Amino acid sequence: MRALILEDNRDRRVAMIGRLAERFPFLRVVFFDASKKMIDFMESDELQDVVMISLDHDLEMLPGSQGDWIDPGTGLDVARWLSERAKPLCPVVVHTTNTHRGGKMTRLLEKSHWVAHRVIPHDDLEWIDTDWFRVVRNAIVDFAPQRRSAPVLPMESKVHLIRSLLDGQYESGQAFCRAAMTKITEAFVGDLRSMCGDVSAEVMALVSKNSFASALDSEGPLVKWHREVGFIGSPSIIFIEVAERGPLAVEQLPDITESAAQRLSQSGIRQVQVRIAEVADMQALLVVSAAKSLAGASVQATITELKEAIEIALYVGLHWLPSGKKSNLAQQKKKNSMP
Amino acid sequence: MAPAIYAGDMRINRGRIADVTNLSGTFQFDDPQGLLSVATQLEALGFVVEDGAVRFFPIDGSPPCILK
Repeated sequence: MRALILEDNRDRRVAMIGRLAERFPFLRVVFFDASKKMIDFMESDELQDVVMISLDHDLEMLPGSQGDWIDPGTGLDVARWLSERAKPLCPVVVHTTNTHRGGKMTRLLEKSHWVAHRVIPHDDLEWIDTDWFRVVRNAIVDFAPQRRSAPVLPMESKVHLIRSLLDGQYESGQAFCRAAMTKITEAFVGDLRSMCGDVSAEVMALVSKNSFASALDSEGPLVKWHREVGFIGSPSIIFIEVAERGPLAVEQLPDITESAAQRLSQSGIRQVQVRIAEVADMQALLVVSAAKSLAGASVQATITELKEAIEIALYVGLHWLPSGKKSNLAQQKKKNSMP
Repeated sequence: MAPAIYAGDMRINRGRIADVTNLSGTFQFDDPQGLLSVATQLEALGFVVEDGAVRFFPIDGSPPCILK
């Protein structure tokens, strides 16, 4: 996320960037001291991640290389350029004491369907802390977030996936669950890897008080880690304790021994997230591990989708009927529906 | 002193919560589930949280999203 600011005063810049960093530590702020520089930048940049533009009007003359002075232009030049764009990009805050030109900039932008806010500087830098920041904060919070994207795997695809699995021969609901969860997890891991690099997703089932085993056909890095470290630091308990707590760095895992944490780090795992897939009395732990951050919104939406797909597989497994009993159930239903 | 459970900011408009976020430069909580829990707690306390008010900003700067 970026903010573009036309402001040539050093003290104002320091105050603005300091205030923004307090609330938006991830925001990259780009300052400009001349309208042409800002317009040139915007012409050569895709601007997709720009969430706010703030414009002063009057700018100080810039010293040239020949001892001459260069006209920096005004904020009105930028407002005019923005208003000529095909469509608005993000909210614009006009911060100038120039009443006439400030009003003109705002009107020009609004006429071209931009969301424009007006802030009038006062009391040296105090207005940045109060008026300007309040307007900027609300403008970014109102504008930037989007509704969660549509599920990565639509419901029809999930149903199709399960139906295709049902074509095979499974002796029990447990056998079906294992096959279904393996295939579902593989499909989602492909999506997750396209978003945040090296990711593993594992499904674990409780096999005794302190022990989990893989509920999938293959073992992932965390199941292997769990087996290798044995009961040192009670890894099974760790997974339960951190379930539904969002993505955590390895060192944030509670009560983990130093050697156990080291083993995880050595295998390239930096973040772990545990979700509980639950249907009736059946539970499984979905453990996602990655070398990078799992915190991105689309990554989180995908992990939730994966958890829900696993719950569907658990549901089908729980209601598994051997083929012989299916006809009995059908007959029973027919009988019950008779008048 | 107990550790912070969650941190962010919110805007109240006419007694209703217009937005609630994880925006905090000091704590930088990066957990969408936690923010949803904050919204649930606010509702349990009797606040009206407007539709689309729960807004999560990942600390890596990736696009923010509306959770609820």
